[in-house]
Amino acid sequence: MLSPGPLSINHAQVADCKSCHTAASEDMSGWLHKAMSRDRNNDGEQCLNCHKLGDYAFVAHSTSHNNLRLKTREDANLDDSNWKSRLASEFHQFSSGESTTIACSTCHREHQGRSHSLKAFATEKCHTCHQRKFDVIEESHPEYTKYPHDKATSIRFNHVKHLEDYFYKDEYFDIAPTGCKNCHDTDQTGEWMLTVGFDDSCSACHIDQILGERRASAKGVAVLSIPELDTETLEKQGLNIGEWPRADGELSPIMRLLLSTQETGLTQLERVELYDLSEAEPEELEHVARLAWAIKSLFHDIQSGGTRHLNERLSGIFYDSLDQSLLNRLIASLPRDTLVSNQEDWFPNLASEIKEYRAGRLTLSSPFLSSTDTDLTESVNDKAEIASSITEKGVLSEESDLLIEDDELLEDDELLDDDGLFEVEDDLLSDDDDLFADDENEGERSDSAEIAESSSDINVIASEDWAESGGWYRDGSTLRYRPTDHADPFLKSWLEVSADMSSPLTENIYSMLTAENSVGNCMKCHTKSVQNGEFPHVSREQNRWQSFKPADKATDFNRFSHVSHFSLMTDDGCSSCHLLNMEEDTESGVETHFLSMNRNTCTQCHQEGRAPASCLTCHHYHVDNRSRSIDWISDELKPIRD
Amino acid sequence: MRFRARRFWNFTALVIASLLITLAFEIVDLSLRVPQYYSGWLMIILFATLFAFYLKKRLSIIPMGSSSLWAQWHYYLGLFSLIVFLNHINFSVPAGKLELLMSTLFLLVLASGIGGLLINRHFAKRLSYLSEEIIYERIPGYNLQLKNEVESLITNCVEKSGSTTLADYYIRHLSEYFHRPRFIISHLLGSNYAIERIVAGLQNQMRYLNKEEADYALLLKNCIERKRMLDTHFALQSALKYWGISHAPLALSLMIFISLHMVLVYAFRGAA
Repeated sequence: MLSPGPLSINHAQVADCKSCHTAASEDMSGWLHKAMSRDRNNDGEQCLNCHKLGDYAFVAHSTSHNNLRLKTREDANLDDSNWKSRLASEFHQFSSGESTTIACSTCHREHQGRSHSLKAFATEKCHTCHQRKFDVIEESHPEYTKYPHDKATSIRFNHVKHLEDYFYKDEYFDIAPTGCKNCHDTDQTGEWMLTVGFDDSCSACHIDQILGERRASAKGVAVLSIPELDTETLEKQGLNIGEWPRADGELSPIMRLLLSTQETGLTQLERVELYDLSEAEPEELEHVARLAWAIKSLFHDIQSGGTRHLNERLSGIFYDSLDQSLLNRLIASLPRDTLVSNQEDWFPNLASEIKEYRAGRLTLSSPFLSSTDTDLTESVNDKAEIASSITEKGVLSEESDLLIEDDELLEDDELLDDDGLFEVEDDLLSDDDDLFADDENEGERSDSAEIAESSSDINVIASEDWAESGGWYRDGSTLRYRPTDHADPFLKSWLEVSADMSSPLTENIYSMLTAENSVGNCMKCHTKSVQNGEFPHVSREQNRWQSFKPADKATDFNRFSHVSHFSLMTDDGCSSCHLLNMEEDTESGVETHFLSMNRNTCTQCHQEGRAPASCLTCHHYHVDNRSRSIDWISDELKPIRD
Repeated sequence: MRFRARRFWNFTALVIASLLITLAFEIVDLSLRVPQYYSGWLMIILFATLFAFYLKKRLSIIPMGSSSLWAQWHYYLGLFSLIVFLNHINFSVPAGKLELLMSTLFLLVLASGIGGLLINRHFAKRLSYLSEEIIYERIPGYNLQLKNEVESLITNCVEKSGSTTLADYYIRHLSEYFHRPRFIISHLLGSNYAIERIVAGLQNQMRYLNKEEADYALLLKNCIERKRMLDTHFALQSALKYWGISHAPLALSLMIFISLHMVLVYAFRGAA
């Protein structure tokens, strides 16, 4: 009897008044009390029992004030509306006071009958709140700016260069896409245009770059490395570090991270050149010595403890925040035999030394034993002499061919690091000039291949070239990892865990992996995420590896269905609406390479008397996409009771 | 100011006010506010003002201005409340039972008010045009007296003329007419059709009457005219007397339902 009218069919499941009205559970005196109360009741929150609208349900557009502020432009005071809208806006501000909440019932009026649409809303009301008011869409709707490309894409892709230049190069012409459809397809709803995967679109041209086929510098990222130490100075100062090979590199960032769990004194050695300690302070020398023992301990523990030790060490570094799957990817099946062979080469007596060191019987000030330095560089220098004695045919002369001699170095194939053969002072290949680009892969391997062909030794091939399909290999005093494929799990995982910029150690790793000519060159195409107008990093939580997916959009003010408009496209196809920007845009900081769409493109049809032209045709009010997610569904498993 | 000129300007003001208030509610609706709250409170203010006229008439001792001025405001505010009411219900039939009942009550109050205005204006004037003044409470007595007079007339006619033609006609067609007030609606509408039909019927009987009966027929015709006068007075004075019985009680019951409506609206208003 008291109901003001039947509910719409959208609320057909509502059984009683209590579902929506808190007063329904009270008697007449309760109604009187509520009616007399100056505070508005909280019936609006009853809506949220079924309709999940996030934390800002009663804010305009159900989004945060900060998000609204970002969307409000400086030139917002453009008013091209009719006088009714202006009056309504004034009245709204007057009657609202300081309140900014908008209740559900403001727009959704129930009890209007079963056939009443709850979404029915006069879009003129939008102008009440919007500072930029307009009257007729085709004449005074604000012109589009940077639409739809108003922010950087996940994948950096220069459409102009590809469509105008690269695809027409001889080497790529046969494998290049012939149209937009080769790389783009609609999603299941037909609303969005998505990018197909790397394998279907980019692999044909870019996989070689990822694997480093024509890379002149090291094709693998340095993981476990032994720095070159000035052992002579240490010995003079009476600091015993045991065996130490003549190394040729420096500590890799990943190595530094692994050492951070021990007292290494690395932070005190920022300005110390490890390979020249002649001017170091005694205290610094002591730190260097500790560092050396820490490095040896690390190798010892890894070799003796296996990957479990590495897992534990990494887990501790990242405060137990890494799951087992990620830990495994960070280790990438580091082969035991590689470590064993390296240890035998670098630290032949590692086990005994560490044992003595940890027992306290071998300290920094212990007397020195006979030098047992494994001289890697001696073999490297020898190989340099060999390089000069290579005959015209590329064959080593018998006198210089180390591989013919009975040498310990020859016992294990992996020790035959052919990089040493070519390590001269002026490394022509040290920069990024791709001198052998025209020769493709053949040029890089020509020397070692020729040697292999002409030599009976099967281990002549350079270890880096041997690991062409990716994986671990040794490069001098460094154990490197070469990517196996696009989206290599090892590189990707290290990029994600090192994204925490608060730690200098992880920052170094991240810098190494994201440098312009880094191994894999991931950041050539993958961009960093954008938060609050800044460009932080690629974190585990914000996966920017993938191209755009509709789920990535937390809030979406616009509504557009591509498939609905396919029939309207001209012979230009996608270019009917999306025009390439042939001029480089350096002001916005957003690389889109597309011109903003024009309002006229839409209002040719969407205007009064023709296609729908209300605000809600192209814009959402409830912009929070999470409300449409399955995540809001309560699906707690409960035991079946008798 | 002459009556017609006053009426013209008052109606013009009413129309302008109606347009303005409709526009105002439209702007309130555009401003994301619920216009029904504003129209509802405006209607309450209007009802209170209209009800004040009723109190003024009851408390005539207290000087509150001229009755005609109050009456003018009452009439035009009543019409204005119709415009506000139509805005309040969105120019559509309410879906709820209580709301439908209230709307019906309001329309009845409005109809009785407009009807009362017409009655006061036109019936009083028509009464003044009648040749005779008859006190309302005496009309039943006069009716009975006239009926007895007519019946004795008929009896004498039968005795004197020796024919029952006129008597038969009276019994068949005229006895009911003189028995109680008849043709009220016709008299209210100012129509003579019913009376003229009766007179014409009597006239048509003249060919069947002898000379003595014809004389009595003329006397009977005079009685018919006197009965018409009585019925006319009865109809007009009844309307003047009893229209207020419907208007005020309907308005009061509407106020009770409005109070209930307000409690329900504010208790179940949601967050709007």
